[in-house]
Amino acid sequence: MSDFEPRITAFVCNWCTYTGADLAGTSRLHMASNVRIIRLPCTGRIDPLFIVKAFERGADGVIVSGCHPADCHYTSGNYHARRRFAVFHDIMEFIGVDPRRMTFSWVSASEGAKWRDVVDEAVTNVRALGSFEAYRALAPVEDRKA
Amino acid sequence: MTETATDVKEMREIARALLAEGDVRVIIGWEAARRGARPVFVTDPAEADRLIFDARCVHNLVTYLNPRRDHVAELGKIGLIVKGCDVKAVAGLLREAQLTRDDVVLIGVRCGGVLEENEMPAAVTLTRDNVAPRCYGCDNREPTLFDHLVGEPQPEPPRPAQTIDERIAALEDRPLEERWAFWTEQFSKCVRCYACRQVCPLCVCERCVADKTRPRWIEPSPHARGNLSWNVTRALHLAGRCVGCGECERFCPVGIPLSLMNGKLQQIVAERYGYTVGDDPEQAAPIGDYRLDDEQEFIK
Amino acid sequence: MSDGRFFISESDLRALAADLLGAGTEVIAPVAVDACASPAAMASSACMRPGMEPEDLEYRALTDASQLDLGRGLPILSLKGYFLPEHEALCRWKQKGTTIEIKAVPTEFAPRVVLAAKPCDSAALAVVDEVMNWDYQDDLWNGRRAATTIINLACPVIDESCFCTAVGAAPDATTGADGLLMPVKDGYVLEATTEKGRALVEAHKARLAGSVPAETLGRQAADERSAASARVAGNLEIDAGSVRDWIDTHFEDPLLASLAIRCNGCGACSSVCPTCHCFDIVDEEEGVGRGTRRRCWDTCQSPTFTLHASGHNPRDDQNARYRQRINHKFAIYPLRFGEVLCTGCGRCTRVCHAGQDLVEILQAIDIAARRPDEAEAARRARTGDLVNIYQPQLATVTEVIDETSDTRTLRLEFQDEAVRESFTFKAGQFGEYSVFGAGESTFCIASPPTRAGFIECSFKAVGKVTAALREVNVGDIVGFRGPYGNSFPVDDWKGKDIVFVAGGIGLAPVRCVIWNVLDRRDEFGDVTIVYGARSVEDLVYKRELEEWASRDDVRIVTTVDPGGETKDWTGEVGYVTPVVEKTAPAAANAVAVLCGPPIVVKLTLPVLDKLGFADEAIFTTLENRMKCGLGKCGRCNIGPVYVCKDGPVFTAAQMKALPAEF
Repeated sequence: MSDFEPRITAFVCNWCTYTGADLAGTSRLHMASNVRIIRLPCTGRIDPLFIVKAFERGADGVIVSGCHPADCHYTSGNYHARRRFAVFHDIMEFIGVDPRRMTFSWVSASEGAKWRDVVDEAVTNVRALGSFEAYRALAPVEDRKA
Repeated sequence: MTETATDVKEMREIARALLAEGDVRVIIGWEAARRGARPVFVTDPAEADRLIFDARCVHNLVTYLNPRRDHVAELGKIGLIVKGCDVKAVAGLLREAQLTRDDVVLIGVRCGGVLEENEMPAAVTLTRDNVAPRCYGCDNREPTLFDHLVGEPQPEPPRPAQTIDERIAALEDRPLEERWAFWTEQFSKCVRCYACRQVCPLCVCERCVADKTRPRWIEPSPHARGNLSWNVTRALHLAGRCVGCGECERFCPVGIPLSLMNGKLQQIVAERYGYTVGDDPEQAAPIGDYRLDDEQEFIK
Repeated sequence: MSDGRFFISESDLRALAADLLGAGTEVIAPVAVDACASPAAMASSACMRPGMEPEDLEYRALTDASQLDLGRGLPILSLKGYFLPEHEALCRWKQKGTTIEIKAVPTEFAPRVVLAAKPCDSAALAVVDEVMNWDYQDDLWNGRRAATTIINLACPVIDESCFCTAVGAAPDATTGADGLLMPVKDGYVLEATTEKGRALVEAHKARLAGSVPAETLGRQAADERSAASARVAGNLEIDAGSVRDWIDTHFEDPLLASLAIRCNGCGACSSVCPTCHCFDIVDEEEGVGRGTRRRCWDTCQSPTFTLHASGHNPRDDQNARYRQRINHKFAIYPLRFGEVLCTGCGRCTRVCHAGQDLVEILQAIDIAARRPDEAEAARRARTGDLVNIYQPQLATVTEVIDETSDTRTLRLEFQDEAVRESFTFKAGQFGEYSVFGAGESTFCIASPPTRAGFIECSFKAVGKVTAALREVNVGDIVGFRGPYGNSFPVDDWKGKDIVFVAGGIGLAPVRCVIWNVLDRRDEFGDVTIVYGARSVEDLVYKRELEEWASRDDVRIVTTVDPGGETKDWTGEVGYVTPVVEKTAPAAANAVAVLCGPPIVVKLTLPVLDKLGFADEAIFTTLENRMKCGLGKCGRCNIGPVYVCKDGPVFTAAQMKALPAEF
């Protein structure tokens, strides 16, 4: 299916990655356009349920990104997120969700280029994996378009 | 495990005395019933002889200490009979300030393992085919949190035909797609009765996230998609807190192998954070805690 | 044999199943599974212990006749899920801008066959047929029932937890089914008991034989049947009528609490039960502007089953919830529909790992009861077109009024002209209003039936759906189902004086009646209104309060709680109850309509009594948590009374006769 374009939802923290993504934009870096960003105050706010919901609602892949350890605007939010998402990542892999559908990264406010790399890599990986329609199809839905 | 006359006699004596002196208003333990052992609530000292203890006493009675269980709390101060593994659940509640130590009298009983199913008319000897897989590797045969301790020291339970870790390893040996097929098939069986949640001694939230409607995070319908959301959420909320009592799997009416999920969670926190759930209320739980050098190999 | 019974060997029975499958007919039957193994995955080694055989049964759609298990064991889940699925779409919607398109779901289903069903499971279907067909007919259920031919396999009795004969079923019964297979030497005797059963037999005559002597067969079968019945009767014998009556009259008895003590509220019993049918209705968004409204299995054992929007929960501990289970199955349903809501399959006992044992519980109640009585059974003939009773009408919001900071009134007009012209209702009835994606919520119809072409509702934004309703604007579309419930007997009040007493948002249902009366003013005597709220700001329908005050054929007294008055407030200051006492409306030839927060109702009833109002002359409307509005989902009952059908309007006399569960 050469015309499949994955839909990626990114949950990013306001202080680092969002700003970094903005920097990527103002620097006019070229990158894949499949990502929709949802801004949160901190990765510590991100509940794994957000990711589950994203898959339920049509995301083929997700990105979770925030400040580097020691740089969290709220001091320790990303440390909590790190543990939480380590468990989440491992459990999802155990259940059979390909870990390449979930990208986790630390992207600081000055790392516009890194954001571009993260996005491009995520999009490439998810494009290769194909649509995650299998997830949505776990519930019977009529008239779905792939 | 052998049932010796001393185990039970001493237990009954202590229960009788506690009730007679008014130290507790109800003793929660096990009794023999038509279908095997089951929980019993003794309020009259004369009924203390109903209490039993043998390999059929599988139930983790700590679930009755759940602060939301009004109809039990109303009975008054509880005297709870606990095995060593059950004590870990008490420690969990104490750790999370869901229980005050003085509010419960713990009668610890030394244990040599329990059956996988309690529904037998009489106690039987444990074998590799009937022993509860969760008993393997137990280091709590003698409870460490108690007000009274009864029973003779018991030998190690037999190794089960297949341990939980072996079953998890077998599953992890399979390719990703087969694991997905396996788990989605299991989750499609779920009918969202929430037995797993209701019986879990550590599921104590006043308002469970599954009942939240604004917003509705977890789809309530029991299709595989909603069930995946529920089961994964429950697993994550129990990471580092689950004591491995296996009640969730035992209560599940459709036979979802939750012990595999819980076992995997325990492996994750052990491998990543060196944590094993124990009976010390002072020990910090892994989720909610952090180290500056936590593993982050999965993060770019 | 020519007496309608045929012999069939096991291989021929499998061949019959293969014939059906070959013709494309779905065949559902018990299949042996490992509870843990997945046929789709290789991970069976993860769960099955080495050397063990699959030991559980499930009803499954066969893919091959060899899967058919004839060992006569009990499948984990009953047949219920094939008629009331664990989750089922009621309708689907697509929204673009302000246009909503609803897609209906089919109520006709392809013919299918169940083979080797457990008699207790089929009998359960006949029991649930009652609730699915009283008044409104549930054609999602009926369509599946009509499409299915069920052949039972006589049961040898599973264990000491079976008690089918104690509740009117039997190990060889055919209630709810279309035929019976009775094991005999070398095969089975097949007997069809309905038209559908006979049609199946006729279509597969080639597989049936009659060459074994009828005499031997008859004796074999009869011996086993009576042995099985005796075995299960030995497990439990009760007088279901006495049990029903005892439960009905011993609501507060400590015996019921003591029997419930070890229950965790896990709901496993409800999920495996063949007769439990309570369900929830939820909206699930599945994309932007698109989703499905589904019903899904629910259980009265869930802590939030009866939780009100206000936070009050009439059944807020496990004792009350477990009592409801026993009450519903053995008293309420029999009183209502003439059938025990249980067929004695014993699954609830087997699946309860906390040790709740229904045989033990029923035994204890039977011993306490021992009172003879008789049950009545009533069936209604099916009439009318097949229609999905859960599908809402679409209505456009034509007016939005913010009554207070948290209370709003919406005026709605139905999109469909035919509905707009023909819609009628009576004062006091309610409906299910919905915002697609948020769900449905229950409110009274706040506008009077004397004004056609529109309906109004008033609500406080306290939950998910009301919050969504608070966001709708003029021109938006909402859903509506109704009118449901009974009504105020306004016609009986002709010539009488009417006293309206309301508190807070309780004025909404009363307002409907007030306007109904005022629109027919000369049919009634004096009209007195006493209305109070916490503060001036909290008074609802402010414009109408002024309008009523300006009329000289209405006496209205408005009051606010002490502290709630403003500087220019000219009304009363005081709680509603003392103001009613002070207003002292005459009780002779008068009726009272009372609605408000529970505390206001509780305190005002004695005042009205003191003023001389008889309990039969005081009318109120109860607001239990309701979901379907049609007497099916099992949520709103108080004792044997369904608030959505016997209410929501009750007299004080009727209310006092109800158990204290509201």
